[in-house]
Amino acid sequence: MEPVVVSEGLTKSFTPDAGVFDLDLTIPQGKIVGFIGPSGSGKTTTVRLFCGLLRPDRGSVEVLGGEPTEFDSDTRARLGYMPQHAILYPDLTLAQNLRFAASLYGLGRGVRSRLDDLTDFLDLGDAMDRRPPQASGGEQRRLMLAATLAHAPELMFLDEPTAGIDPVLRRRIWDRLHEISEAGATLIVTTQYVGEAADCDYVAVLADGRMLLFETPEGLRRAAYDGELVDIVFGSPVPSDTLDSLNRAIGGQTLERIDSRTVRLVVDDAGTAGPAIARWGEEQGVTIDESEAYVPSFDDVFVKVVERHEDESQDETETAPDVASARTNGR
Amino acid sequence: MAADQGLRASVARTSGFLARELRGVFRQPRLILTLILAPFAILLIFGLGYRTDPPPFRTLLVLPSDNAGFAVEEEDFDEAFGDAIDLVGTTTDVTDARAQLRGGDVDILIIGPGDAITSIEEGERAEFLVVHSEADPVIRSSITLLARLSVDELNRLVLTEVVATGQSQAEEADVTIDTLRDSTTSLVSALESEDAAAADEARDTILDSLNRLETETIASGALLEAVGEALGTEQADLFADLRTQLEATSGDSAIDSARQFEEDLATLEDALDRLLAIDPDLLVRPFGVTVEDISTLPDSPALYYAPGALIILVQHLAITFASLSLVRERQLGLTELFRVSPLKPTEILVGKFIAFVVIAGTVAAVLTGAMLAFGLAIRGDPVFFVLTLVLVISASVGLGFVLSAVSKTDTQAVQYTMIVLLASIFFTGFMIPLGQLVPAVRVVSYLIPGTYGIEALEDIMFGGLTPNRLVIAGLTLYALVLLVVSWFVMRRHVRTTDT
Repeated sequence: MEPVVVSEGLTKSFTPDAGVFDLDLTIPQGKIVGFIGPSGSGKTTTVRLFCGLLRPDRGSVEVLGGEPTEFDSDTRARLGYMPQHAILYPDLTLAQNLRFAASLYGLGRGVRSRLDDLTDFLDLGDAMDRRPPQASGGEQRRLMLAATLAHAPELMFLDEPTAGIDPVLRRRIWDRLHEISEAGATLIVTTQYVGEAADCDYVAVLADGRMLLFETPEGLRRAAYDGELVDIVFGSPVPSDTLDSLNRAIGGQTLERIDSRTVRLVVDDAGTAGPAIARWGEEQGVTIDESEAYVPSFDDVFVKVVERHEDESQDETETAPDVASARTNGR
Repeated sequence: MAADQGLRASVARTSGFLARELRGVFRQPRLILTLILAPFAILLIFGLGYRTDPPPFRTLLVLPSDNAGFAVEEEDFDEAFGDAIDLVGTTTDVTDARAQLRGGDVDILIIGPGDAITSIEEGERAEFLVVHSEADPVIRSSITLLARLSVDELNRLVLTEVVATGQSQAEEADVTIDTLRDSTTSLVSALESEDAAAADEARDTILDSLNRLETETIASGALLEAVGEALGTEQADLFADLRTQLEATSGDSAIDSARQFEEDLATLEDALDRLLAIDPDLLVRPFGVTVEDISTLPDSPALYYAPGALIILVQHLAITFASLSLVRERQLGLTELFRVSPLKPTEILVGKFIAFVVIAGTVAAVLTGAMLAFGLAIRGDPVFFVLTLVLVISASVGLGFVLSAVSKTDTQAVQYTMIVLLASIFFTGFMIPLGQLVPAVRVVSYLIPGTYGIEALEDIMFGGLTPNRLVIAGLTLYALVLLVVSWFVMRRHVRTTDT
């Protein structure tokens, strides 16, 4: 299956520290790809580069087989774009705004039922006769989402589509996005809700304009901790040398002590680690009350990844003067 | 099939912009009311309040104390200036009068000549001095013209007085004419009875009376002769003829000559009667003038400005809508959506263009209806009237799009449209005729769509004429060029990539 987005060394900088740097990415068709990162990490810039709204400084990007800034009308008709902020005519009602947005993609009066279906699905029925200043921020964003979905695009760029939307409706939206994806469309979604990574087929974690990871959600967890996690509750407090013995036996390492009797270990495979732990307890005469795999939340995973990136960045910063100094001395 | 789908999509996009702009305006009843009622109210108030004659100038007459022999009185000024001045007083103090002018208490000072008689005797005109401090160039011109006309009027008053005096003297010649008539009768009788002595006596009496009569009527006679020459009518020298006839009464056909003399005397008497019957004012100003206006201008002078106001308003409306429309879309961020979408520059151009032509055309139609209701007629071909409006609106929409390209904010766009409006008032012929602008400046005039529109509409509405082909061709070319430039503006609007 042909990839829909391929970028190599894609760079767009606004300042030396702000922008997107050296983005290498391949996005397959029919998948939901989540871009997750803190504010200012480069999510929106990446989407704007993919849409052709920004011209890269370096590197290349191909979307649907073409360079985004050179898209022709036929290629653009295959795209859907929901910007981060609601962009609506303030003097038109939400219904008129939606019809106008649909008209941009060549949809005339014949699509009224499709638009009605979308507005019903997004709980916009009562708000459609109001003008944007009288609608809530959430209603405006939902309308933008409806406008993006209206022409059933092959490739959608959704910049924080669920921001400001209640959890129940957010769940329904994700369900709809899954249906769309299963029908063959590709969705590139940015979000600040880290937990939404679970709804994606692939997750790209961005920080400081750089992509730290591009993985499946499970792969992301594993990559964050270099393995899977197991929580063990001992019958009594355990000394450090006992724990060292356990780690050696199962090939794990202690991540943290949760309390005097409980520890969290990183293991290669949580499924096979359980029996090995039980066996070690019997051999060593250590009472193990409970042993089970721990699935960290994506918030924790995200924090772990970002902390690791920050540590690495700090190390690089500290090393750089030494290297420079060594070069100077070597002359 | 694909081509049909593409065409349908293109029509949908174009219609989307058309509907969006129409909804944006027509869902605002207050805006529509303002667009139509405000200019109508302005025209109405202007029509009710405008007066063609300026208010009379408050005038102070300064007659210097050394005006020996000055014959013009205060009433003469009133007559000479008519309603154009309001004579607020007379003074001999020039310094005080100038202070009053500087203080704004009066508008004009008329300072009379010091010693008029002496100036005239020395072969110089006795000059009046008209002093003002008016800044308005139109009023300054009015004052200069008024001063010239008024001094002509004063001169006429003096001349009329002279002629009247001459006529009065001619009336005193009646006794002399009676003597002449009696003596002539005596001469004829003496010749018939061959009484030579009586005939000689009668001839002497006649010659004396003739000389006296010539002296008594010299002023009026000269005037009559001068008027006759001016009118191109040869007048015989009656006194010379009479003297010749009188000499002939001593010859062979004395009786016939005496009878001829009698007839010539009657002719002289008749000429004098005619002279006395003529109004001295008529003798001084024998020519009058009547102005016949064959234009179809309305009675109310305010309606003269109506076609110009219609063009300026429609132009302003179209430019403002077009420029603000694009600038606001940029400010709202809508261009971001356009740039990702398959929208083509032509589609947005056509959609918005049709919408603004419809909006401005609707306003123009309502205002035209109001003008017609107030008595203004479209004397020429209504097709050209409509064509002119459509071309002006088209060019103005194009100009608005171009202005939007150089405006970063809606405030800037409004400023640019106001500059065009100001330029339109001065350079389109709306307030100041184009002929009063030097040719180089008229280039600016023809950069404004309204200039062509006003010229064409005045021809159609007032002259009942087909507008000048060059004007219509120029306006068409102007509109086409601006629409082509607008296409590039739209391309930038929907296709620019941020760098």
